[in-house]
Amino acid sequence: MNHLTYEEYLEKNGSLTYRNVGTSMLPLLKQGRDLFIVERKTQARCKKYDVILYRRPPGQYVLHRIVQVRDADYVLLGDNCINKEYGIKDEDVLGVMTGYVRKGKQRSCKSLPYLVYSRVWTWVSPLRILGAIIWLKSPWRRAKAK
Amino acid sequence: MKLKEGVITNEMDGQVMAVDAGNGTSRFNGLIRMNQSAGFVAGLLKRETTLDAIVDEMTKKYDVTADVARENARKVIEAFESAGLLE
Repeated sequence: MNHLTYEEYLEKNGSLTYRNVGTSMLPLLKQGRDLFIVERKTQARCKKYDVILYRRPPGQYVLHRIVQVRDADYVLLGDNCINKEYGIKDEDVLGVMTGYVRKGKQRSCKSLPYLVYSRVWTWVSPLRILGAIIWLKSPWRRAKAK
Repeated sequence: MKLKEGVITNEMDGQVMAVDAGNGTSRFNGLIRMNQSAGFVAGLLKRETTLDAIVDEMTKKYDVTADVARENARKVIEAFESAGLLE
C-alpha cells in the first residue's frame, strides 16, 4: 500500500483510518495520540460541521472542518486555526470523517458528545479567533517572547 | 521485537488497522490493514516478544499447527517490517 495515494486507497477500500499531522485540529485530534477515520465522499454535497479530507492544490492533503457551505465551494477552518480557507470545491474532497480513535477507543461522529462539540466549537470560533488575534498582538506576548 | 512507540491499532468492520501515529510526516505510509488473526499478532507485538512466543500464543488461540502459525506470523511480521512499524 506504500505506493497508493490517499485517493487510490479510498477508492479501493472505501474508508481510511490514518494519522493526522500538526496541531490544526486540536483539541479534537492530537498528533501521535489519535487517528481519524474517513469514508470516501459520495455524490452528495458535504454538510456544515463535517470534517473533510481534501486536496489543497497543488498536492497537499488537509483535514479541516466545514464552517460554511456555499453554492460553488466550501469554507473551511481547522478547529485550532484562525484563518478560514475558501475555494475548496467538491472535486477536491476525498472523504468525510465518520469517526476517530482517541487513546485506543473508537468514537463516532454521530455520538452526542461529538455533535455538541462540533457545533459549540464552530459557534464560538469568532470569539476564539478574536482572542487569538488579541493575544498575538498583545504587548504581554511580545514581552514574553523577548 | 515489538511495534514502534506510537503505532495505534484499531478494529473496524472485522478488519484491524495499524497506523504509525507517531510519524510526523504527511507522506502517506506506515499503514497496515489486516484480518483479525493478523490483528491478534499485532496485539502481541505491542510488547517485546519473539516469533516463538507469538507462535505459541497463536496455537493456543486458534486451531492451527505450529508450522501454519509460524508461517502466518512470519508474513505479518514481514508486513510490519516493510511498513517500518517494528523496532
